[in-house]
Amino acid sequence: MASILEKMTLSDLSSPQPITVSEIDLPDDDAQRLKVLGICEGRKVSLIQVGSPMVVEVCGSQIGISRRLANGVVVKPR
Amino acid sequence: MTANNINSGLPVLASSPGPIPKIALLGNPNAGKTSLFNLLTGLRAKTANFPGTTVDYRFANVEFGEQNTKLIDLPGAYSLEATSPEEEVTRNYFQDGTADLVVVVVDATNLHRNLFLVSQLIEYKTPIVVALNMMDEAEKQGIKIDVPQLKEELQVPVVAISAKTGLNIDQFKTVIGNQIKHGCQEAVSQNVCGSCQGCQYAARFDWAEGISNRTVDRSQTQSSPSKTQIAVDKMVTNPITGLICFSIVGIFTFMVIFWFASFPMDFMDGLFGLAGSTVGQWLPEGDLRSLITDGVIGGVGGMLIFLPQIMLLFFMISLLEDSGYLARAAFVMDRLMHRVGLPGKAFIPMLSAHACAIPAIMASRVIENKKDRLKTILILPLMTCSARLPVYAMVVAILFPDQPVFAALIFAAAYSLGILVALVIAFCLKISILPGPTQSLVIELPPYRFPSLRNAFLTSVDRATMFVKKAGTMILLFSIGLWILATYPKTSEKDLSIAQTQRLTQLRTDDLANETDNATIFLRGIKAENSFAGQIGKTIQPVFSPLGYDWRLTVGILNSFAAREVVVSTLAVLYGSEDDDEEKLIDSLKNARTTDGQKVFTVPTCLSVLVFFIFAMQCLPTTAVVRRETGGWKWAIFQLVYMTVLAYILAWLTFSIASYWNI
Repeated sequence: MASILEKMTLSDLSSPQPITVSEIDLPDDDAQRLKVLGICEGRKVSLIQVGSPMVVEVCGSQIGISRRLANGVVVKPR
Repeated sequence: MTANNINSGLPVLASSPGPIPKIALLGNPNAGKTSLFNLLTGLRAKTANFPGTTVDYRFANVEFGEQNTKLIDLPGAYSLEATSPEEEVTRNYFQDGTADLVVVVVDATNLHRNLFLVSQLIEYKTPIVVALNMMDEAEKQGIKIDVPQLKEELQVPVVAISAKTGLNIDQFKTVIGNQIKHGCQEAVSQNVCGSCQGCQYAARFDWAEGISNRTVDRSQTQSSPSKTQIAVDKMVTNPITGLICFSIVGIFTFMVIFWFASFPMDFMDGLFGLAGSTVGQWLPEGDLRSLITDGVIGGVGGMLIFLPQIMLLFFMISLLEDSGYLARAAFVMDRLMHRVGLPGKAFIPMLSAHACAIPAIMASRVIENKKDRLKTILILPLMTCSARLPVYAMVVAILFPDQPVFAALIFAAAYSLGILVALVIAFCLKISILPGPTQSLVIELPPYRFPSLRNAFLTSVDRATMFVKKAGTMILLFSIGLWILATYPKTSEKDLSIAQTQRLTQLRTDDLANETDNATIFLRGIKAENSFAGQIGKTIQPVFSPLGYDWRLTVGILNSFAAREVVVSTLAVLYGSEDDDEEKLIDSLKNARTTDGQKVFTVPTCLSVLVFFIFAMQCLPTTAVVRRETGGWKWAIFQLVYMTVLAYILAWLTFSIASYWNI
């Protein structure tokens, strides 16, 4: 039962909010760079600055991410 | 046989020390690892290379409770996965089991993130000690950590310290000393990520979060970033105000470097001039004296003169990095730099290259991705470095004497042209031989902290040492080589033509009457013309004649391929001037005529020289450093060729256009 809704990604969000990462849909090396910083499936993060690049808060520190990578981070609101 | 006998006759050294135990320092970037290393080692630390890589590490012999050890500062890493050459080296070093003990530096204000690395380390058998750093900062923020509980959870020794205030450092040393003395206890390897189904990263972060929740009491924590901090952060990371802030910080850094450096540079210039003349008095007149004063002292001086700028540059970069601003600047610059195929972090080496390309190429290691790093290295020498300034100053003095506004405009244009063309070349590389996307930005924006002057000082000393070691010997060799080319074969007065002898006699008579020294200057010019350098220049001159250069200027250009700053003194000799008098040099350049009586330094020629020097790769030490950093001659030679061709074509265009418009 495929969802009719498009997957929502980090770059779709237009305002700062808390979210849960549900999937990282990026090439291996890019995915790994995000994951070692704590942006991986099941983890709770907060979007704190939208734009390009954007800023998220993960595990108590702020991480700047380019929009291209944010596009591959599938999220759901929490 | 006899050797054996002799050996057995010698008393065996009682304390024959086995290999010195190796202790590796490991930790996240921004966890204060460098501060701890600096606190333990100070000025004793040396820099070396991991074999077969361009990754540097610092090391020093340190005593821990009477145990002599070798302490190694591994590059900062978030994990043992290899996402950059630095992390790859760190991982290999760890997996090889080369270290007898690993000290993991953990930021006490952020256990959750820092314990991720610990979770990977404890799966190996290498003994670990956790240095819980920044306890002073944690206390300030009201974070309470149950250290015994943490020790229990991790099952490794944990010492709460502060590298900044020196808190518990003695206790830390004792713990390390005991570990080494009593044979390091193997860590109880824990399996953190369970069966590793699903995301092993998530499992590790969950584990770290669990421990952090059980050991850290945040009930009295003040919300750590203050309102002002949040406001400042908003401003410096905003796409528009952030760029303005970046420009202000960049220009300020620049002015500090150039203004402060001018004092020690003037002082050193004077010192080496004095050294040359003093040594010159002791030595008998002849080749040896000339070699020592012009070749050796001149060469060493010509290299050391760049040290103040290099040291100040790394001092400032270290302060900016420690304060947390550098990461934000990379964040703001990323979007712009990406358009030409460079990562945001490339601005750090690009800023450095305005002092000298060599430390800039070393600084390009902040860029994780190999291809992005290569692109950056290839364009760095296009930035206007300090060695070009004497040449610009010379041209400006010929073109616009006593017109400071025009002079300033020419300088500004030269700087801008260098940056602009560098960006264009980066774009061309991206769409031609180095295709593919530039690595996208992922960067931790660390909390703002007050930077450590001690760290900044030690970094600048370290970089200066590296510069002297890597570039120093080479610059010295080249300046001796140039001296040989300019001195031999020698011309004596017997070898002069009849016309030249007549002129010399005439000049000597005039000199006696007017108390001038034109005969010596004339003779020196003839000697230079007959030397190897002069002969080569005359042979090659047709190549440079479309750019408007006569043979003497050609010799200057050829000499400057070893190091561009020598061109001014070379021209002084060739155009028959006293090389230590700038005004006379400019006068003799202005009046210089070719054999058919034309002026040499016309406006088109001056502009063409300026353009050539902006773009040409005239610095063999830089080429050598590029070869080392890119791991082969291929890219170093490519860079030398493309820059020379670019300089030639643009200088030719400049000369042709300026001649056409009859400027």
